[in-house]
Amino acid sequence: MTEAEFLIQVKLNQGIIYKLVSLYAVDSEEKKDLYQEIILQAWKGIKNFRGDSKFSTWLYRVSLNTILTLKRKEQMIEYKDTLDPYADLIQSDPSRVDTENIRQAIRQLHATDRAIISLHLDGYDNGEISTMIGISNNHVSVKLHRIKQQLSKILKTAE
Amino acid sequence: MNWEDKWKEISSEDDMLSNLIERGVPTTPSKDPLQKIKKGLLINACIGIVVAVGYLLVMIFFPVWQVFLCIGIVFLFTVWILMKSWKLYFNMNKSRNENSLLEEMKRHYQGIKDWMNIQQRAGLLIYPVAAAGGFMVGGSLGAGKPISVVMSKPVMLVALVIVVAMLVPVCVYLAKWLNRRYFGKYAELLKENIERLQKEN
Repeated sequence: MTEAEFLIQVKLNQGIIYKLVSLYAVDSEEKKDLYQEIILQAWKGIKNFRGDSKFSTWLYRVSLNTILTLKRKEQMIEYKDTLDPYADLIQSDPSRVDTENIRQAIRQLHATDRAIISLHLDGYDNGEISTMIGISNNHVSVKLHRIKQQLSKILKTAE
Repeated sequence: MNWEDKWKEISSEDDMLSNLIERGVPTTPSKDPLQKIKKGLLINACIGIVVAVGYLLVMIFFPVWQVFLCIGIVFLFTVWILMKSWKLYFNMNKSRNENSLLEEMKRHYQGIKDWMNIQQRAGLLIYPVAAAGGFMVGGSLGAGKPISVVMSKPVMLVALVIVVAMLVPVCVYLAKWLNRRYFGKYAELLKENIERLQKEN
């Protein structure tokens, strides 16, 4: 795959990276760093991509692996991105407040739990999550159950 | 509306990041800690080769059994450390994008632990030699006499033992502190994430 072809594939699936990065970055600088590192790691590893899975699934795995092995410290702070173009919309649109609450609630979870719940919310089944995370299928089910309970609690507290 | 629907509503667009992709694949060096360690290993290996050649030259030009014994042990230890560093360097070289998250975090954690172990083992050998060498050369320069004359006094031998005994633990502690300061928190976070994923309940 040439660099141009690779970049087209990434652009088609860049929403995956944006969402994941926004769940983990503590500020816009780290957001940029994580994003660039993901692109770099994906480009380095593209020669090993044999097409056994969808490109989006492969990119998801690269993104999660890169984020969780690159982050040097865990900071449970509220995400405030001054460059967020939707900041004004969030203020005025109640449905946006809901979606933003979801994101903020997920950001309060432990880093590994964030990975599991984001895969689940993006439609991956327990078998796929189990392969990508590296834990058993049953373990994924138990974890998902607990994560959902925790999320409900966080969202209730936020209300 | 359930969480899945709300999640889908979360914007998957970001102008700031979109601009970055327009510039193509980043040309800046990777911030991956293992890549930084790899660079460190390469530099250490190059220095190690020069030092090992130096030891060989000393043994060739000073063919005395005491020199053979002392430098020989140090030389063998240096070669052993070099081989360990080389092996670690090539293991880190493999691209592991196909790994699961747990495997990848374990690989990073192990890489950092191996690096720290190599550094500490190398340090245990280098610090006594460096402390003793520094003491003898410093003593010789300070007194303006050859090392053999300075070290012929018994008091200097006692002082040498005290200096080595005091400096080596300090250097080992400082090296550990530096390693922990640079990679410690990162290794702890990886360990915590690994344990949390493996924990069944």
